Amino acid sequence: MKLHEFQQEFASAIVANTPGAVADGIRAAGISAGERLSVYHHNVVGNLVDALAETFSATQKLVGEEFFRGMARQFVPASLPVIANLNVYGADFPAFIEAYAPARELPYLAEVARFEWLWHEAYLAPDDAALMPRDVAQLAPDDYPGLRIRLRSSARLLAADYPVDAIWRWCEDGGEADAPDMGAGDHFLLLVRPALDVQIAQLSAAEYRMLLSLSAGDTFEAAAGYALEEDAGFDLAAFLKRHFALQTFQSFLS
Amino acid sequence: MYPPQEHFAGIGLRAAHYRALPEMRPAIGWLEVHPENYFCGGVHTHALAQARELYPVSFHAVGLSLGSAGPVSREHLRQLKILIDRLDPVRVSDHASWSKSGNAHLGDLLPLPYNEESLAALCRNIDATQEALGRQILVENPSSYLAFNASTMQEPEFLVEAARHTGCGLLLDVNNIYVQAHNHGLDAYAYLEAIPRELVGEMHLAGHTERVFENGTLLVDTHNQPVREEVWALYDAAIRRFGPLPTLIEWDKDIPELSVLVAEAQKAEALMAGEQRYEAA
Repeated sequence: MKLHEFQQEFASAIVANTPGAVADGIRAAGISAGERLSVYHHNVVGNLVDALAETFSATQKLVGEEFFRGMARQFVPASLPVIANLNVYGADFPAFIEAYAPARELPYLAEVARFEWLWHEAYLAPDDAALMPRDVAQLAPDDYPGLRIRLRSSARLLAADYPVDAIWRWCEDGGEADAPDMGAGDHFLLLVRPALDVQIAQLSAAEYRMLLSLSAGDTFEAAAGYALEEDAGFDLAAFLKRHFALQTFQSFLS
Repeated sequence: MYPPQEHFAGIGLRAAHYRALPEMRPAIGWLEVHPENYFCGGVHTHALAQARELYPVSFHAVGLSLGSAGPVSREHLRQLKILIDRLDPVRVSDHASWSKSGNAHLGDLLPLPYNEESLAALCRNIDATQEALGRQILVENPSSYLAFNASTMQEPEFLVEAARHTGCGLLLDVNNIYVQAHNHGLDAYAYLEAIPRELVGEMHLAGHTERVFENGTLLVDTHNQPVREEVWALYDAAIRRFGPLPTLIEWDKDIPELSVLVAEAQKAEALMAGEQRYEAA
């Protein structure tokens, strides 16, 4: 067997935890090939489950370690990392949770996981500087409608059916206070990291539409149009004031 | 640079100690980091830059998959090079093992059959890495839990051949040698003797765990506890053979207080200094 074939077979055997075709090539003195291979299986799966438990710590807290690890062990074999950087491992885990039958009784679980993934992305996003009000002051008012603004590299938007920020905060604080209301409703969130700490801001539906539109590269005028469609009383001046304070914007798109 | 570089022993920089390290400023010589943890940027990179102002760093990569039949990822090398240019590590290393097959990265150090075909693949990937990075790397001896009928050489011979062909240095993990000796019935002291002095640029120490099966036991390189006494004894022999060399205390799971790691590093330091204080304690 050529090396590349052997490595494919061996990798499959580890993931499946059955020696299969590679058993014959293993010197199994005393301890069987299957037992030896199982050490690798447990290392590989265990490391990846550990990485998920670190990134999705609130999700784990909601369901307990045993349930979480069982769920993660189902996810891992079909979703192995494609690059050697565990920081980017787990993007598909929220979608897996959504379809995971044993978790169906907790409809907010997948949303909390999605929130945690966005928080993780904001935490690891490249540093950049914020656009300041003085950068805008240099422009002529006629330029405003056609402006396109790039959001901070850490900015993440989330529309959720459950109050995932309150649930997440409750888990982060140890889950000992009274549980937040976990009832369904409309929740819109912005996560952004102005410096070293990820900030979480609750948004109105109109504000969310405006930011979503700007992040897609729409002009200021078009984005404000969507916001006004959502809420005829949308206050653009208040929106700008708030997001300059939150340091949501990064630069002008030319 | 703080402290002056008279210390040979180092510890790993881990997120659990980002805050404690600059406060405590322990008397260690250097910090080891897995560069892959800093490829994304963000908050981790701030902690690394801060630590780098206090100590030299050694890059111990875990993702090059030097033993893969396929080539090293160009993108991985590109990101590693960017980090090297920014942080100027004193040493760069990875392992004589593989973790990548096709599109899957298993994130573990998987064993190679020790034969000419594996040696050629390993050398090709070491050459490509050294060329892309513009510097020598060190390659570490792995722990393994099985051996292959297709092997035609002993592990030390395989490693020495790789170093001779590529000009890379060796990173001798003393715990791994101890683990290999147990798991494969080798003589750990003869293993040390089989490695030429001039090839070794760094040593590692770590804790391991015994796993019991019906017909025997395997030692597993778990990095989750103190270095065992038997491994300290082997390390003592390694120092006598190779001289004092930069030595890392590896501890990656169930990470203890910073002071515990520093005490382990100081134990290595004391052995290198020939003081052997710990034996009296």
